[in-house]
Amino acid sequence: MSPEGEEKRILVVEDAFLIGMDLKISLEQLGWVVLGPAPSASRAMSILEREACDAAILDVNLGRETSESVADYLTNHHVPYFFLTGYDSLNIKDPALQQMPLYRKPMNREGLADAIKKHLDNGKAA
Amino acid sequence: MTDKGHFKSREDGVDPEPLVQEDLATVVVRCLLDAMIIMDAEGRVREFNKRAEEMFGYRREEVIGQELASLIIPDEMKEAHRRGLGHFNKTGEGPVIGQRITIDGLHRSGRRVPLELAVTSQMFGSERIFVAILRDLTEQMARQAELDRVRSYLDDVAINGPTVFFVIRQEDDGETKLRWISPNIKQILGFEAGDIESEKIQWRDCVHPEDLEPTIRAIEQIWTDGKGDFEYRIIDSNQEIRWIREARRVVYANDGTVEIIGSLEDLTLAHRGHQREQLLRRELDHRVKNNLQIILGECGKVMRSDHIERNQIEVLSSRIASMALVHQVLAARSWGPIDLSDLIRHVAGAMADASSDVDVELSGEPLMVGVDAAMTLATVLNELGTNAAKYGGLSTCGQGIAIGWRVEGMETTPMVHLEWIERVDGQGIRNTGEMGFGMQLIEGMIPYELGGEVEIDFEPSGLQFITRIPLDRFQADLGEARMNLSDE
Repeated sequence: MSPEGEEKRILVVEDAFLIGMDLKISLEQLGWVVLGPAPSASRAMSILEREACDAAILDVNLGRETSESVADYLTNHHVPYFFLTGYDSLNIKDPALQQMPLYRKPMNREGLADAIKKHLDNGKAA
Repeated sequence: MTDKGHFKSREDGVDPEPLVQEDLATVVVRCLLDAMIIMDAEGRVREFNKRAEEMFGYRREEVIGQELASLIIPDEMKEAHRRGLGHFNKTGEGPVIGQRITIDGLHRSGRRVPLELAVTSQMFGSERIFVAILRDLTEQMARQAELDRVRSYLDDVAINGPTVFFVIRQEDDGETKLRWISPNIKQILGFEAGDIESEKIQWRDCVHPEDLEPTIRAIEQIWTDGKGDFEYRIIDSNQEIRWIREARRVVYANDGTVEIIGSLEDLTLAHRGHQREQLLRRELDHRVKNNLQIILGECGKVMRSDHIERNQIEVLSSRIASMALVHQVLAARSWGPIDLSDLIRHVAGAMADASSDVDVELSGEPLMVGVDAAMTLATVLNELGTNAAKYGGLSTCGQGIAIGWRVEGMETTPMVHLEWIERVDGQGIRNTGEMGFGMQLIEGMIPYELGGEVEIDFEPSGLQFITRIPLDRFQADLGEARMNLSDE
């Protein structure tokens, strides 16, 4: 757990505006500072280049691309994250990424809070 | 007929009479399956057997001594016949003599009879006679016509039909060789049948490399099973991939030849349809889950409020109704593109119902919207409409909305320019300082999802919303971008 009072910063990558906005509101209410939401991998990468990031939630399919490159970057920088997808199968080729935690839409606030507690806060502590 | 057993000669100087008397020759002539007519040098009938009677409808007694030409030769050939006979009598030469020719005869009823005619000439005593053997070709011609007709159907199928046929023969050395392939292969795969028959184009080189081995195994299996079918991909003459279903059957002929009769069907379109269907199912599933996620989010927002206002429920209900409406409109078009004015009319129609005495005016060229952009656009327009009904062009002080669009920058980067201009009398009652969620959506959704720009101005005359969206994003087909991903 991060020290009390320190900002926890979470990146949201999601190509649907309304879902991105809702995640942002929910996460802010859970006490996170939200980076994004970013609709594309390139937007996400440009945020990551500028800002410190403690955790991330990644939609898998971003219209014309996937969030794989962002996931790679986060893995390499030991930033915990999980995938959130509306598809039944995961379009990710990298077997390492296939091992990452995956949640399916729709996900309510309680589900979101649980997933964050399980994967992202713990990840930060580690 | 009285002087039995003898041929009578012309030297008797009597009227022409039958040459054949009742003896072996007579019997033979009568029993001939072909018609036999004997004609003398003057062109008169001297003998006319039973078959000839049946063939032409005259009795022997009637025709003996009559001019042959006037009886059984069609009008247009009478003259040639008479000339030919005269010519032969002078020179001893005739083009018909000693030949087998096909010609029409004339039945007593006027019906034409197709015939094979063989005429020989010889001396009988001192008299020259011509012996004609005639075979009725009516049935044979009818059979041939039937064969020709069937053949023309087969030709049509082989040239214009959708299925390619081929024949492969097993040679004595056990090797197989393509003997024939129907010319419609040209339409389906772009190859000339002749080039394939001559092995200038090798089947092996056209099969998709990944499919070659399993296809060869399937072909070998046919020899064991006697028949079978299998699917594979072929690279056609345009280097495009075509899906093929091939069917083969082994045929053992009585003469010992072993052949394979086969057919090729192009399944490419069906395959594409199948792929699109899978994609559609996947995208719809995704979309439904996204919509549920959005609804959950909207409900969450309401639940988090300290006290629930009727207004919040109305907003929630309006957003869900808008999602349902767009879903319905797009589903009615099988999740294909939709005309922009249709889309706006549906969304605005729902608004105009609420406030029936104001105008929503549309102007713009026919323009198709892809499904993804249609969803985004409809959500934004619905939000604009909800606001307009409360504060703007559709409210009590509203005087309507003008919605116009055009495509700009065709030579560089084509952009769809769409504007929504509200008219109100007096000052609008909108609080421009407040940035509610609805306004965030109106401002943010198009840039976020379609990479467009949005400009909102609160003019005294009413709100003006102007957006510019790249045409390719505007018209992208359902899941177009995700197509490659789902192929993985």
